[in-house]
Amino acid sequence: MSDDFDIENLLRATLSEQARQAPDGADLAEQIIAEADHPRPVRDLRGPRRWRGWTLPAVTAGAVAAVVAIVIGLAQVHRAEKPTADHRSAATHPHPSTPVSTGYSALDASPTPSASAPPTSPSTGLPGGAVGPNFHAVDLTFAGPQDGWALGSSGCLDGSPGTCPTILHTRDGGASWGSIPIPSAPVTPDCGSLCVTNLRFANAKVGYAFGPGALFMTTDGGATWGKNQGDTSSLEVANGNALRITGGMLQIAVVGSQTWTPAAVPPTADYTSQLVRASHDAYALSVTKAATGSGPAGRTVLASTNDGRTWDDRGNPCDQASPAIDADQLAAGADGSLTVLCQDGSASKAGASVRYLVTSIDGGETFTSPTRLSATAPQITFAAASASVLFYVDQQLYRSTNGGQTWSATDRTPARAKTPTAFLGFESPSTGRWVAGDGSTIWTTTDAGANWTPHVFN
Amino acid sequence: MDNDVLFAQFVREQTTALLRSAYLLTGNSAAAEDLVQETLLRLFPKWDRVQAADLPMAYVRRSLVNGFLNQRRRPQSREIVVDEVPERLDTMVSRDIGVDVGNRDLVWRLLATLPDRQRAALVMRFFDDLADDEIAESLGCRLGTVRSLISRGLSALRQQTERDRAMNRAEGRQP
Repeated sequence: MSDDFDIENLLRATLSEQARQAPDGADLAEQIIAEADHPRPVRDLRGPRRWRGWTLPAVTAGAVAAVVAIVIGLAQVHRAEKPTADHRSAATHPHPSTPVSTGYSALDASPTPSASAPPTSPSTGLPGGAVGPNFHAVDLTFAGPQDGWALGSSGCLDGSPGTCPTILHTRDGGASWGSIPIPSAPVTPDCGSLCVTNLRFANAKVGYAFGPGALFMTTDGGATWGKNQGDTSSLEVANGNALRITGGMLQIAVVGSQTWTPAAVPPTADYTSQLVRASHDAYALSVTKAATGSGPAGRTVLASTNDGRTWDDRGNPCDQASPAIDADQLAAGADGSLTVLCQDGSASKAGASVRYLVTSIDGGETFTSPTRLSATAPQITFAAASASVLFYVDQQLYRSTNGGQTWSATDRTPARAKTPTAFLGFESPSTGRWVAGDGSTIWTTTDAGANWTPHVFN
Repeated sequence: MDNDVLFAQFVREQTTALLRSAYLLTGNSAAAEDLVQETLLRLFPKWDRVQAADLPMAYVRRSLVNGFLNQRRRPQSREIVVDEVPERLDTMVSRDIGVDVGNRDLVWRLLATLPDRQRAALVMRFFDDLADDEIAESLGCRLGTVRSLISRGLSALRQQTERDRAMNRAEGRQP
């Protein structure tokens, strides 16, 4: 803690971080709705427990009987199925699920669902279904410390040639994964007219699969998917609302709603291309409208501190490094900080990028002085766990614990990324995920990137 | 749309956000779920009144905070408040994550030791981003009281964290 530490910012960061420990509301919401439909005394359901003299022995006897029943039940289950790390044991529960439902390759055209049609998923799978061979993740999303989903593709379980789109779900923080149904669209990093490249879940029920050509939404945990209007290049969910970029415009919707309305962005913003969120803060990178109509337009950072309802233009924080340097990538730390990767656009084309980092901890109002980043690769992936703990990947994963002043390669991590990193992100200042290289391994850290644990598919 | 449908829509859309506020108020998941459930079910019979409000979410949040404060006034629901934080900052800071995480953990535990109304005012200001008049309406008090609650709450947090820093310095644990 520095000498002039700010208790207000510290409190904000604390509350923001702790709020993420709150349980997911999807199940409770359904419970409340059911309770409202068929009222019972609330106290009976969740109220304080008061023991009467005879209650404890009776409950104890019941508990012993229940334990015996569970042990017998588990023994039968274990005889019936062979457990594996990836829920592949589902042989006793034949889940046709994701990989079986379609046999098309990732780049094939797929049936086009109509916008007004009911949910378009084949809906033949069940959560926890089998995982096809050679699963490769292209995106990850977590809603809480335990519930996560991975979008990717895998070999088709019915033996069809090529690969099948796949969404996997974990309920134990990434230790084990099972498949759930998918939208009727191929998964590929190179999208054609209708395909999905990214996945976000707001809670256990509501999720979005999207890409430059389509947006699908589920409100029942992936059992069924319906198509929303418009393409979506970026989408983030938090605090009951969803923000997306469609056609360069920022839009906002209530989580689970199909009604998208334009967000209140400043008139200076012309075309928005990136969107990141942390707690109530959201940031977007936008091209400014050229004042004179001639000459190149610059980039500007848009910031919102109220879940995307209103936005302010924070200007180009990279200007302080050099007028030729532009904001290139945004990374929101789980503590609400924003770090901007500044890059000389013209130099990057020649493979000799000049890069700087600037960080804000006050919603983009002020930024630190630029810190030079010595990465030499033409393209890097960049992420922030917090204002001080930063990461980038070129040929391997590098980590800084002092806001980018110094960097060290994390040599205990895996495999060097021979191909671009599919995903690198943090759910909290300490817990993060990395999908490196071909997407066959999901790495998890719980100590802010000091150590990483792999989950290897196949 | 009838009230049942509007209620269900609101519950599906806002329960997660309400749970977060409730968690920050109560400090634990089970109590937060109880608080949200009791609040919404209490409001359900008069949902037309909630819908008629300018900001239904503000109406529900106000009821949530009232529910929290009323609940805490019941003697059996009081948690035991300690004078001193049981663990010191240096005992829980991982070298890699740094002081930030330890500081937030300390602040979170200090927050639990504040009086309920101070804690509620701080959560509404620094998490829900409510203005003074909105907090005053939620707590049913005057603007000056809100400012005083926030000021005293921040002051208590600042003093305790600075005391902890000073002790660490004295023992050479922190530069």
